[in-house]
Amino acid sequence: MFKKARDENAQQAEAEKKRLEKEAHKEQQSLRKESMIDVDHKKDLKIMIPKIGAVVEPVYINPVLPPGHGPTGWTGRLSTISTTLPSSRLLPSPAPSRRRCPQSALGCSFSASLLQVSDLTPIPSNKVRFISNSSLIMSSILQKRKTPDPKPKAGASLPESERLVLNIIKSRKENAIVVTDLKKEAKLPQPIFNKCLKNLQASGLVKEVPHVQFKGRKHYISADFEPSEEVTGGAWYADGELDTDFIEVLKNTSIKIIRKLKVVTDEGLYDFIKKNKVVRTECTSQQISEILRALVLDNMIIDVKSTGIGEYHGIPIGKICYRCPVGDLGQSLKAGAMVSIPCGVCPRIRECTPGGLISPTTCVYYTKWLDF
Amino acid sequence: MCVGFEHCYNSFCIFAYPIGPLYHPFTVLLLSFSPHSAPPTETPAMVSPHGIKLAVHLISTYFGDIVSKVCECLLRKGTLTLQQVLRFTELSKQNVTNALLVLIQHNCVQAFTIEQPGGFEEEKKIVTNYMALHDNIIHHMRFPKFLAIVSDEFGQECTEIFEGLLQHGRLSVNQIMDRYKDKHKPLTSEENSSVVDVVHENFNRLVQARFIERCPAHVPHIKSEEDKDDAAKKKAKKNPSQTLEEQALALATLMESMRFAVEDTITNDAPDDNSNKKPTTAVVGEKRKQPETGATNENKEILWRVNFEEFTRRLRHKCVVTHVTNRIDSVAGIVLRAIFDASRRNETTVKMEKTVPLSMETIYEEAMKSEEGRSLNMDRVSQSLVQLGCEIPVVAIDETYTIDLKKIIDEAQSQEVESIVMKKYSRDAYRIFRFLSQCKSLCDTDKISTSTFVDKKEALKILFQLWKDDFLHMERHATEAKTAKTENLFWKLDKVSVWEQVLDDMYHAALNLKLRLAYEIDLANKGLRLLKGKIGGEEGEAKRMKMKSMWTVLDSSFLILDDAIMLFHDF
Repeated sequence: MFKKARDENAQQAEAEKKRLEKEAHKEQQSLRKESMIDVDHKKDLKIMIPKIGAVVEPVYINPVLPPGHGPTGWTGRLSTISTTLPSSRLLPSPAPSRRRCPQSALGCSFSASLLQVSDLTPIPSNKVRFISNSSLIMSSILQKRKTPDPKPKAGASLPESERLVLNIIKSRKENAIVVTDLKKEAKLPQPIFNKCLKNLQASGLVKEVPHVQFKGRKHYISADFEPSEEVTGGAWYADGELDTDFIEVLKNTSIKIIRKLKVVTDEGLYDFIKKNKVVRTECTSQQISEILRALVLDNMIIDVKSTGIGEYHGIPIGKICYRCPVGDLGQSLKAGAMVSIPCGVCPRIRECTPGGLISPTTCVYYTKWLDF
Repeated sequence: MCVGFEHCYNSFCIFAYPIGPLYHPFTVLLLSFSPHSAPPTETPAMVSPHGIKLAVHLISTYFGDIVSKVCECLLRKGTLTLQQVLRFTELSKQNVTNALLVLIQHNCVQAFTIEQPGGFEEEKKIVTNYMALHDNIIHHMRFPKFLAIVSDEFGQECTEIFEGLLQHGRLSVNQIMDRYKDKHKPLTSEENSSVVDVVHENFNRLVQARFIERCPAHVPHIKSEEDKDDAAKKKAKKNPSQTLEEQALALATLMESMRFAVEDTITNDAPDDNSNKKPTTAVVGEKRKQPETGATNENKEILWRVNFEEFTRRLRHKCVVTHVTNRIDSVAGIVLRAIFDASRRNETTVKMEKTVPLSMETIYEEAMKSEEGRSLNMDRVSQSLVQLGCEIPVVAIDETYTIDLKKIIDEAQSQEVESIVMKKYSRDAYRIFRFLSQCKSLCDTDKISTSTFVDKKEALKILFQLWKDDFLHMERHATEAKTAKTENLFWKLDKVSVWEQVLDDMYHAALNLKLRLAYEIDLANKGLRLLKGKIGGEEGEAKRMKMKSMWTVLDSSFLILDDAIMLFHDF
C-alpha cells in the first residue's frame, strides 16, 4: 500500500518535472531569440546580482547567434545591476562544460562569487555573447533555496472549456468528483467534454482516482490535491480495495508476538514491531491498535485490565492489555449446541412446520446428517 | 391452524371465532363481555410460539391427545375457567375435567380461585381458574437428567423413590412406601419394618438435598382489593406490576421451612389404616399455612413432588463450571465448584447474579475436599480467583470473594449465538456481530466496516443478511450534504429480542429432533416388521446397529440442545 503511494508520488513528481522542463525549454528558446546581447557596444560587462545575496546565477552561454544579431542593449530587467566588474574579469570559460553546474536542472549556471579571475582566460570581448534570461536566473535561485516552485498559473493558457472543467474539479478539493456530476455541472456537449477531460489528464492537471465505495464509476481529482480518506478508504485500502494481505500479515505477526510476550499493550506491540523491524512495510501505532481490536473481535486474543502483578508487572494498573486466552476459544465456537444439528444453520427454519412442505420428517439436511 | 366455532356458548357471542394463534382481536373483546368469563388475564408473555408447540408435543406424547388439546388451549389463551376451556376445546365436560386433573397431578397446571364482581343484583362469586405452567411441562423432557443427578448422588434406592415421583407427579409418603413394597415384594414380606426404615431414610435424604418438596397449595385464593388485609395490600404495593398468574403462584408456594419439612412420624400402617390420621408436622408457620398445603383428598394427606428448582440450580452450576473450565482452565472450574458447594445452603434464588461471599480459607478448604483439588495450594486458588474476575488485595484482612455469575452466563449465551452466526454466515459476519454486541448505540455502516476490516460493500451485504434474519435492528437516517441528500444506514444489536428469537429457534429445533426421532423409530419398526425373517443375521444386525446409532445421535443432540435451552431460559 505504501509502496503504491510512493510510486504514485514519484510518477506525479516525474510528470511535474517533465512539464516544467518542457515549459522552461520553450521559454528559453523564445528568450534566447529576444535577449541576445551584443557586448561589443558595452564598455563594462554588467552582471545582475540579486539584492539579497552575493550568489549570482548564470549569465551566459556560448554564442548562439552571430554577432550583431539580437537586441543591442540591456533590457529593463538588467537595470537592477548593483555591481559592476570589468569585462575581462568576468568572462566565462570558452569551454562551457567547466562552468556548468551539474546540479542545475537547466544547466549553464555558475556562481559569480566563486569565480576566480586568475582562472579565466581573457577572450576578446567581441566574441562573447550573454543571454539575459531573468526567469532562468530566478528559477535557479529559488531551486537552490528549496522554496516551492512558482508554478505557472494552472489553466492560464487553457481553453475556456478546459478551464471550466478544471475549476469544477478543483472546487471539490480532495474529494473526487464523479464523471456524471462533472458533466452535469460543466454543461458541455459530450465530445467537447470528453476532449477536455482527456486533455486535462494528458497535461497532468487532473487525474483519475478509484473510489472505494463506487468502484464502477470514474472519479477525477485535481493534481494539486491528494484524495481524501473517504475516497481512498483510508490506510487499509490500496487502489480502492481492502489490503487484506497486509492486514493478514499484521494480524499473524501480532498473534505470534503476543504468544511470545504473553501480555502486551498496544504501544508495547508497536515498539516491538518497530524495534525488531518485524514488518517490512511501515505501520503506525494507530494501525496496530486497530489490528489488536480486530483480533479481539476475532476472539483470537482477549483484552484484560492490568493488575500490575505477575504477568502484568510493568504495565500500569487498569491499563488495557492483550493476551492469548488460556482455554481454547475455537473449540467452544465449534461445539455450539445449535450448530451441531441441521436446524441450527438451516436457512429455511422459518418455513419448516410438521407436515408442511418443509418438515423435519422430509428434511434433506436431516437425511444427509443421519446418513452414516 | 384455526378451528372455527360454529356455535356460541353464551348469548353475547354470536360470531364464529377461531381458536389458535391467529384469532382476531375482536374475539377477545367479545369474551370480555361474557358474564361468566374470568377477568381479562394476560397470555403468558414469555412463552415463544415454538415453546408452546414443543410443550404441546410433550404432553401429547406423555398423556395423549385430549390432555394435550386442553393444555394447548390453556397455553395459547392464557388462564381460563372450566367453562371457557369447554367452549374452546369442544370436548365433553368429563374429558376436560379429567384432563385438568391429570395436568394438575403432573404439576403442569395450577388452579386458583378469584372473587368476581356479580352482575345486576347478583352477589359476588368465586371462580376457579386454571393456568398452564409452561416451564414445568418443558421440565418433563429433562427427567433423564434429573434421574442421573439423583443416581450419581444417592444411588439406586433413592433413584427408585425419585422415579416414582417423576412418573406419578405427586405422591404421599404412604403411596411411595406402597410402591416400594410392590417392587420389592420378596424382601418386604420378611423384613417389613427395616424396609420402611430404608424408605424413610432415603426419602429424608432426598428432602434434605431438596430434590423433592411438598406440593404447593392446590387452589390458592386471590382476594379482591377490598378484602385484602394490610399486609397483603403492602405486598401488592411493592409489586404493582405482578400479574394475576404471578400472584397465584406466589400464594401457592409454601414457606421455605414448610416446603422441606418432613413428618415426624411415618407410620408402618397401610394407607387405609392411617386415612384418618392427620400429619403431625410441627413447623413454624404451620398454623398460618395449614389451609393451603397441597393435598388432594379429604384427609389432607401431604403430597410430595419433584423440586424442579433445585435441579435447575444444579444444572446451572454445572453449566457455569463447564464454561469456566473451557474458557479458563480446570483449576478455575474446581475453585468455582468449591464455591458452589460451600454456599449451597445460602442460595436463595435460582438465578443468583453473584455467588455468596466467601473467605479464601473457606474456598480453599472446600476445594481440598474434592479429589482434583487436593493438589492445589493457596496461591493457585488465589490465581484462579483473579482469573474468575475477583480482585485480590495486596494485604487481605478478612476478605471475602464473590464471582459474577451473570457475566459468565451472558458470556456463554453470547458464545452460543456467535457460533450460530459464524457457522450460518461467515467469519466476517461473526466479527461484525461481535463488534455490534459491544456497541451500545447505533453504528453506521462505515464505522462497522472500518472497525472489522470488512470491505464496505461486503459489510453492507452481511448486515442486510443479518437484518433479514432478525439478528440486527436497522434505522435509516437521511443527511443533507452540500451536494445531495444521502441516506445513511445505522445498525444495532438488540440482545433481548435476538436472544428471544434464538430461544424460539431452539424450541423449534428441539421439536424437530423429537419429531424426527419419532419418525425414525416408526420407520424402523415398520421396516423390521416387513423384513422379519427375510434378511440374514449379519445384515439384520448391521441394520439394527445403524438405526441404534441414528437414534443415539438424535437423542444426545436433543440433550445438548436442551442444555442450551436452559442456558437461555432458566439460567
